[in-house]
Parts: sequence; C-alpha cells; structure tokens
Amino acid sequence: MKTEENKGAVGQYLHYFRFWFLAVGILALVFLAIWITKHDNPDQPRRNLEAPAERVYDQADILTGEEEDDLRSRIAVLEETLRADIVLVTIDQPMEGESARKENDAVSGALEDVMEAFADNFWDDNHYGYNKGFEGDGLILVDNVYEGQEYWHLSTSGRVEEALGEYDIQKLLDALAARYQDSCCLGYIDFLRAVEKRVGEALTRQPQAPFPWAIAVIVPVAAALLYATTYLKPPKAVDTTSPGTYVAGGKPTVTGQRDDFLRKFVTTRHIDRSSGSGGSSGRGGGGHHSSRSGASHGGGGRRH
Amino acid sequence: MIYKCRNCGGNAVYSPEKHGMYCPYCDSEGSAERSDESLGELTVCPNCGGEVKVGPHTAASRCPSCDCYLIFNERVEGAYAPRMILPFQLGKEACKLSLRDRFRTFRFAPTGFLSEAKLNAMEGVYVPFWFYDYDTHLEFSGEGTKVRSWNSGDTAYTETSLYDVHRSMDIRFEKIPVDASEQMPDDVMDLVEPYRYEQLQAFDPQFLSGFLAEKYNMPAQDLESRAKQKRDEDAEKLLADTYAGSYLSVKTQQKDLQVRDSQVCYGLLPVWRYQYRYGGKDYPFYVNGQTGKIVGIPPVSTKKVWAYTGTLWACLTAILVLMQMIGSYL
Repeated sequence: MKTEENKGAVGQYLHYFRFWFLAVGILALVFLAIWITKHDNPDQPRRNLEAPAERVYDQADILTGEEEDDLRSRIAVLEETLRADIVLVTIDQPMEGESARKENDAVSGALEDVMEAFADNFWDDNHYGYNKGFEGDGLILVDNVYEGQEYWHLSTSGRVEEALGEYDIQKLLDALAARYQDSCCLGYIDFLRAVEKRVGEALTRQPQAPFPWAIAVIVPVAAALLYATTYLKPPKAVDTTSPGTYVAGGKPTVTGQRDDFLRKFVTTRHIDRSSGSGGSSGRGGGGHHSSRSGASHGGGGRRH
Repeated sequence: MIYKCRNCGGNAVYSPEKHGMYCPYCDSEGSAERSDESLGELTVCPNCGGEVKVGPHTAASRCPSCDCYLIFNERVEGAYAPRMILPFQLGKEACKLSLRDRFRTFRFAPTGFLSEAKLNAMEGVYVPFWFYDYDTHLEFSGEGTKVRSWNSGDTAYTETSLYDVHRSMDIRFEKIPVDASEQMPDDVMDLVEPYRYEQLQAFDPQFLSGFLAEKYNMPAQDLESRAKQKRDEDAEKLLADTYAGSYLSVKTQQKDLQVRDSQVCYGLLPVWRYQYRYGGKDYPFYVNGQTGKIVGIPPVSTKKVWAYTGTLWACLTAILVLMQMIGSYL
C-alpha cells in the first residue's frame, strides 16, 4: 500500500514538473550543440587550406628581404599561438576619390572608407581565416604610404572581430605608431607584440554573459520562496451564507423609507501647482560592418 | 431499532444515491422493515450481541462486530424526536470526489491524504440542530453623509450634505440553525452551512440507518444566544443594504429590532466527517451532506515542500545558467 502511494507521489511529481524538466533538457541539448560547434580545441590543426601561405605583402617595397622574413617568422609563431591568421600588406597607391572607390567597391571615396574596403576585400578574396575561408579568425593590417594619403587600416574577422573592441583597435594602432617613424619594420614588430598581448588576452577572456550572474542566483531563490509561501496556504472554507439566507423570501419587506435633506456646507482648499522638467539621453555606437562579399568585419584605422 | 431486509435479513440502509432504503447485501430496494428487538441494554447489539460503544448523546451508531447500524429508540422519540431531517443527498463516493477535487491543487498535502483506503473510513453523521424562527420589525433612524468634490482654477471644493435617514422593515427569519452538539465545533458547523431547506422532510428514523447520529446535547434556550447573534448581525447587514452606495457614511441615531413572534424546533442535518491523522495530529474534515461544501485544513508534508520547492529552484537555476552560457557563446 505504502509502495503504491509512493509510486503515485513520484508519478504526480514527474507530471507536475514535466515542462520544467523538458525545458532544462532542451536547453542542455542546445548548449551542448553550441559548445561542440564553438568550443576551441587547442590541439586542433589549422582547418582553412584555401588561403595562400604568404602573410607579408610588401607591395610598397618599404621592407628589406630580411625584414620581411623576420616578420613572416614572427607571424608564423604568433598564428600558432593565437590560432588566427595575421596578414600585413603595404601599398603605395592613391586611395581617395571616385576611381579608388569604384576600384575597391567602397561606400564612399573617402580615404578611410576606401582603405577599409581594400583591407576587407584583400582578406575575403584570398580566403584568409585560421579556421575557415569565410569570416574566419584573424586580422589584416594594410599600410598605405602614398604621399598625402598615408593611412593604416586594421581589419578584423571571426573571433578576433568579436574579441576586439574600438578601444583595443586604437591601442594596437598606438603600438604601431610608437616607433614607426624610426623604422616601419620596428612599428610592425611592436604591432605584432601588441597583437600577441591584446588579442591573446581578449581571446582567452571569459565570454560576456547576457545578464548578471546575480540574476541566476536571486531569481530562482525568490521564485522558490514565493512558490512555497503561496502553496503553503491551503484552501480554506469561506462563509457562503448571506444576510438573506435565513430570511423568508431572501429579503426583508421595507415598510418605510425616507431620506430627508438636512443641510450642506462647502469647504475650499488652495491647490499648490508645481511643475518639473525631464531630461534626455542618447547613445552612440559604431564598429562592425559588412564587406563586398557579405562577410562581417570589425576594425578601424588612422592617418600616419 | 434496526432496519432489516425482508429478502435476506441483512442490514438495510438509506442510500443517498437511490433516495431510498437499500440492502447492500442483496441489492434489493424498498425491502427494509423495522425491527424493534432489544436486549435491554443500549451497549449490546440486538443483532449479534456484541458490545457497542454508546456515548451519552448517541442516537445512532454502528456495531463494530457485525457492522449493523443501530438506532436507539429512546433517543429519537418523545422529547428527543426531531421534527424534521434533511436526508443525506451526497453519498460517500460523491463526497470522496468532492474532497479530491477540492484539494487536487494543494501540492503539499501528504501522499496518503486522499487515498482510497483513508477516505473509506469517512463517516456520515446526522448532527442535531435547533432551528429558530423570528418574526421581527426593525425601526431605524440615522444621519447620512454625502460628499462631492470638484476643482475650479486653483481651488478645490468639497461639499458635504447631511440627510435624515429613516428605514422601517419587516424581517421574517426562518430556521436560523444552531448546532446542538458538543462534539462538533461551532465555527466549523457555521461554515458548513448553508443547507437548502426545501429538501427537509418530516423525521423518519429510517433515514438514520447507515449513518451515525446524535440527539441534541443541550436544550434550545441554552443556545438561543447564538441564534440571536446571527439574527442581529443579518438584520444589521440587511439594513445597511438599503442605503449602501447612497451615502459615504451613516451614523446611527436610533435602532430598534422588535421580535413579534418566535419559534424553535429540532432537526437533524447531514455531515460527512473525515479524520486524517498525520505527524501525530488529527486533521478533521467536515463535508455538507447536501451541498458538498468542505471545511477543514489539510496537513502540510515537509518532505513535499522541500521536494517541490527545491525542484522548482533547481530547474529555474539550471534554465537561467544554461541561458547565460548559451548567450555567452552566441
């Protein structure tokens, strides 16, 4: 008898929480699927085999052969550490105006827009990206040394795009600028060091949670307390008799009813009116954009 | 007395479902006949000779040896003869359903609380009641206040009007019930009400067969104060209904309730009683044997409170944590 009662109680319990258990199960499966898809495996080899092996394109011819080799070897080591492609391109060509805009399919002929389009297209057309050839992980630095249009543009993609904010981009360009005027190669080396530090930190940083963790602690405790207090009150019987329950016909016989006006008086009060004013707020934003091929990129640039 | 079946000799009982006498042994209806054989002592079952526990006010009981329902003539006749009775309209099965339905959503009740085995122990009891009739006339005068407010410019105006309020009414109270049983808690019996009196019938002892019953424990005059209290409270509310909504407040100046005539009579009303024992404590439940209204507070199982609340907390925490982690990856 006791066993049957217990079985019934367990059945009742499972039935009552069936949707809760289902929700937890579905979310756990969703999480597992996302984790398997997105989780980084440090031992996993480079998966993108479409991109060329070259990482340093000195089209402006501002680096010596030794400097290029030095930069290539530094980049190779860094790519293994960060598991992100790093590409360096130097150019010496006009990047402003209508023809430059058309050539690069930029949104405008402004230097920064054409540089951005050039960097994005260079990355996309060569299918760079450590893990895949479209929206893969990595960054590209394009350095234009054309007189009057000197400009650096740093374009990011994939996990690097997600990890680096506006502030990080500017810090990387600051590192590049520090010794660039002494020697562009020193600037690139400083830039690569900064990338190692800043991108490395950003990629290992804990992902941003959508809401504070305190909510995940406080809300269930509050809900459980509310649930317990609500259901701890058992249903109680209430008085269902009315004043007419024991009266013949359910109501009395009114034999007389009079409401005679006696007097009235009026009181007044001054209304104190006061007014207030509100404020306004606004917010700005910026950052991510899409390239000609539809891939998402982040980044920024500056004149030098 | 005992009601026996003419066909099989078994104990015939009143069936609320069939609205008549019925033999549960041979399934025959209308075959009951009264048997007044007695062994001289109340505590001896005239059917089997077994010992029966009979309290000072017991009017009908069940023999624990032969399960025969006994009705004690001297406690339902003469001075103890009820003038009327409201026979059980709700059978035991309907009462069980009613209880289960009522407490279905109360998650924290112990598992065995509404089990078939426990509910089968439920007993039908006829509770003695005194019914008081009062033919009354109420005269009332008071001062009513009405208030109206409005604004004009920077000034708020409040107009207060006073009225002389007069009411006179005849109120005929019929059968104000007051339970005459020491065993039954007064507040619980008040909550079990109301009964629909149109099903009241002239007393016939056959209605008691199959149930327990008591005779009145105290005379009508000892309990009249409760009837008067109910009467005065109801009269007050009925009076207030006549000016409710018209005035902000009414101050009584004079109120006089005259009783022109009063009567009292004795009758029996049906109640199902279910006693559940949990954690060393009794939890009694009373069900109106006519309407099914339930009075009683179920016990709380601490184990269930922890299990249900803990599961809710764990599920909600798991859901929020998983959402947080999924959100982090997206």
